[in-house]
Amino acid sequence: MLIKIIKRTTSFSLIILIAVIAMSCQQHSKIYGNTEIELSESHCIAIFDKLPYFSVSFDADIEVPNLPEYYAADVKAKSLSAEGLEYLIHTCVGGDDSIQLFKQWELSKDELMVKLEKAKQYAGTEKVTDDYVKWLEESINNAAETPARIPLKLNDVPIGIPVLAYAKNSSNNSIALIYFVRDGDFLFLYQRDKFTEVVPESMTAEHQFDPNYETEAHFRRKKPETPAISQNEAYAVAIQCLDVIASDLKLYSSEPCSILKDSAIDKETGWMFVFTREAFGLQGRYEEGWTFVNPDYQPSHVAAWAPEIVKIAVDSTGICSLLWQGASRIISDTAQTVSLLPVEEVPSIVADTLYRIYGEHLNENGIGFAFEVTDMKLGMSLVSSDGKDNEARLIPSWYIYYNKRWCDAEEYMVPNKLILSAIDGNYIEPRITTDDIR
Amino acid sequence: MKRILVLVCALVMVMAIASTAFAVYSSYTNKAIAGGPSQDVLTGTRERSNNIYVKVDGYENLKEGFRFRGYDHSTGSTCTVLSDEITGTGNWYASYTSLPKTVRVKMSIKSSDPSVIMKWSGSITA
Repeated sequence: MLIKIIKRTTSFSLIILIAVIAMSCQQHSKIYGNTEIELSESHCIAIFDKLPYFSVSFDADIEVPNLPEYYAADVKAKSLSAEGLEYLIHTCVGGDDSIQLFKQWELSKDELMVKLEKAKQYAGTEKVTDDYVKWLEESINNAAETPARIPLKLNDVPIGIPVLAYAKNSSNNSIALIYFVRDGDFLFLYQRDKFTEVVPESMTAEHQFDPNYETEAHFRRKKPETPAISQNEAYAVAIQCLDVIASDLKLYSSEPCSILKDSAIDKETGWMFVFTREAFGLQGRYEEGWTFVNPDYQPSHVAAWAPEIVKIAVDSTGICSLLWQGASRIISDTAQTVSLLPVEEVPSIVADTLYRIYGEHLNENGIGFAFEVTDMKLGMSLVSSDGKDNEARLIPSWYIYYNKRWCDAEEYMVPNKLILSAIDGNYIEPRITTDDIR
Repeated sequence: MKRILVLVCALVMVMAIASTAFAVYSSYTNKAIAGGPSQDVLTGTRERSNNIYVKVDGYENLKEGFRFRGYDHSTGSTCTVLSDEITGTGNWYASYTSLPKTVRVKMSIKSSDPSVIMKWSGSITA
């Protein structure tokens, strides 16, 4: 009897095991196997089009820093104490000791009226939006006789949650906006004026125009023009600021930006600099945008916290905004050399991964996507360490930049990128965090 | 001993219910939006530093022409880039280009046909 039970249990377990293996093989089986790839050190040409109405083609530049070895290492999250925040606020707002902080700073009725009068002069033009005028009118109607201006002490700020505050320097009248997290996720934002909007050139690309939201004239008004400060001068200001706040990040990108005030009545063109983490010769890559995750094919790893960046916008009067988030430090004794997947294996993994993510996206004609890969860049990505909230791992990764369109259309959609671990080719998503998918 | 245990259990339950009742989550589930002018889909006070989250659950009639963007709820200026056209069900995350206190997500819809519907859920908070 006992032998029978053991036999039956063993047979049943074997069937289950085979089924699991078969399913896992099916899950990881390659859709695109033996496609011919034309590969040099700096360029890749390939076409993966064996499936009807879905294709991935490569005419892509390859960027791989020439390094003797590649490394992965653990990193630890930093956070901002009350003292650290005070230092950053003084650095951005001004160096003297007379900075006052407020948790609430409302404009008086008179101040709002001045803004409304100014806005009305430009009503109906590209310099003012209807939303802004409407907001001013509502604010005037709701304004108290004595505007609420409640002082704030950094030591009284709740821990671990984003806090919005206002900073006033006695030497000028403008109210700076400060947004930060104390003793939690590393986040610090300084904006010289509450009514300022910084719009980098990349946010004014044609695909960013939404006729449902704004007129074409409003959209064009946001576009940066000739900067009032040279790129070199602006960079010197940004790099000095980086030095003062003791950030060791490296310049990743720079572009002109519009600094708009009071809707878009006042406008100056300056420069926006983005700094990211470089480690062991490879740099993290950062672009703003939307990220799609297919719940049926999720990334093997996401980031433990927000991407580590410093963004500084500079105009002719100095720094007009600074964002510092996701700061971390490398735990140097955890650095390990790693072998990278051969480059020639990457294109077919890219084609497979894009199919698994987007294969079921069809337009009204039942047609799928045509992806056109334009760049393959080796960089660094931060991915979570299992079960650890404030530790993560920096790993070499492939950033695959592409354009996409429907196979039966010529119009391209918003460009995007796919990110793969360069160690094993796994699909990773460092643009979203464990918090996002919890 | 039994009474103390019952009392502790009751206290824990009351605290759990109270914490749920008072938590303000800017999250929405099982919502639907139809074709027509650009519409607000969610508004909320941010409780975390990164990423707006919108989950697209399904479509009726047409599945093209929907685009999302985040805005500063007070001044109406943008705080995320405009999304690509949403082309399938799944999860969409946007990084912030600026950090307003209260965020409004609007959906821009190409079709004005009210029978064109997208079903979605989403949040601005953790």
